[in-house]
Amino acid sequence: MVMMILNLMILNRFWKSVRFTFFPPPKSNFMIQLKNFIFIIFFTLPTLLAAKTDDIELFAQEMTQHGFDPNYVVSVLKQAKVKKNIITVMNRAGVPSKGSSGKRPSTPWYKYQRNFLTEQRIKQGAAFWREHAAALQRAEQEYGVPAEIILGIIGVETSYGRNMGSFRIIDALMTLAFNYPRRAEYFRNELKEFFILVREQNLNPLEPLGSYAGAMGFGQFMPSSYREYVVDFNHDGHRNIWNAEDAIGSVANYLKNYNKGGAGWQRDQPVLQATLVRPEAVDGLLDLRFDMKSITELKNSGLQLATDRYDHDLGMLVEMETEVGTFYWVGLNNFYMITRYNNSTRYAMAVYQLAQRIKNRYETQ
Amino acid sequence: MQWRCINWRNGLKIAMKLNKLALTLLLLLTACSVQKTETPAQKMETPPPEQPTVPTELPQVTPPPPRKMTPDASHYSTQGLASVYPKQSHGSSMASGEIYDIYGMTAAVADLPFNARVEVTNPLNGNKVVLSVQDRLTTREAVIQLSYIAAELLELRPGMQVTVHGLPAR
Repeated sequence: MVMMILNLMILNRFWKSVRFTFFPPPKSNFMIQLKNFIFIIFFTLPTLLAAKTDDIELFAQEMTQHGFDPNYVVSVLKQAKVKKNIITVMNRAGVPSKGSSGKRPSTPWYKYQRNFLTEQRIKQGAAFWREHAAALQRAEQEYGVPAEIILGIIGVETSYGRNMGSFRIIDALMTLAFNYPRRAEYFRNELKEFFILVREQNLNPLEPLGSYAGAMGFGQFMPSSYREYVVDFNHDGHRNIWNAEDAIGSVANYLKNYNKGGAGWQRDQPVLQATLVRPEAVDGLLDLRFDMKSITELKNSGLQLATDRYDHDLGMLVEMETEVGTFYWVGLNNFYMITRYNNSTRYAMAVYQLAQRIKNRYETQ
Repeated sequence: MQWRCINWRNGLKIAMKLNKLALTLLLLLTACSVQKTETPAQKMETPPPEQPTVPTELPQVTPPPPRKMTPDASHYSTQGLASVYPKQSHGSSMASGEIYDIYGMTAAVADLPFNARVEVTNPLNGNKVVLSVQDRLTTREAVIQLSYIAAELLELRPGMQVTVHGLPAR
């Protein structure tokens, strides 16, 4: 052991001497760099810190509108930690990678779906269905959302509670609200909602855990969605997204009642329909993205849907690159509602396909 | 000479570390300022995912059709060759009026009513799928025609046999 370490030290020394013989550094380097460093520290550090404390003070002042003592808000936020790795992850997620145009994702569907349509997740989904069959049936009756769709969402979000995140929500939201300018407004609002939420739910603000973006529980609800859509589905007096039954009711309630666009989940209506499209019309129809148009209008623009049953409904063109070629679907209202959970056609497709697989597994057992 | 040399190297090491720190700080600073000076036009290119475009009109949804009854098929049992829809069929009508979907859990058989459900098994690996009968089988070579995804889930290769069992009404 000692010999090994000695050996390594000698090697290291040897390598350095070789390096410096061949690439001698300029002599004045050190002093210049030191000067640069001191200069930069001197001018940037105070401004960075000052900007942040100002932001927090301002936020704390705004919270008085909601009946909070600014000193309390500041003291809570002082106990939160800024997590640099969250900023790194958000930057990676937020910027489209090279080669992806606006309407086509950089990762094709057939690669993307491998993360979600796994044998393990299908098995877990069928087991979760058996375990919570009564709650799922009740959710289907009350909200009209099929059990398998609820299972698809909870499966994609957290693998049925196995991966609900281990960041303190207060750390995640504080990091993004004050150190991520691109979405600061959104995350400051969520931080505000979080303060109100923990007051309503009588929780310690330092305790709730969740994703790096501040999403919580089985269904990964952001604080504002938590306040608005989480229901006490097991009637124990608490709206608890970390409880499986409350989560089942809450996901169904979200799909049924999410009110920013869309008509809410429609009972007994399909999610999507397979379709053909005139090749030259594809790009124009994909450009509409989530801007739902009537099927009649889409047909006039080149959609070749083989039925007139949905002519008066709204829809959007969905393109998926599968292992056996590129195929098209029309996403109907219920597809749109799944995209309100996460604004991505691949996400909605993964949820729907996972749902179908789980249903099939549940039925064949 | 040896000592001085080591000291000089250590000094350089420290300098390099400090330089790294200074550089990251600089980068951070520039990153911040770049983000602050983002023009509205650039923002338009990458809209934040949580603020989707909202349709201006509420969708008018057709009234829900009466729930489909699945007819009883529990008497049905057969085995034989399975065929698979060609992928070009995606988006075209089946005999029931439903549209064929490569990811749909549907099948064509010769002699069962539409919406009847069958359980198809690959005897070689025990994989099973439950499919809804939505189409008429016109050839006599196969006992059933499967959707693309059904064949995938059964891990079926061309020319393989399957067993088909009808399921009771629901």
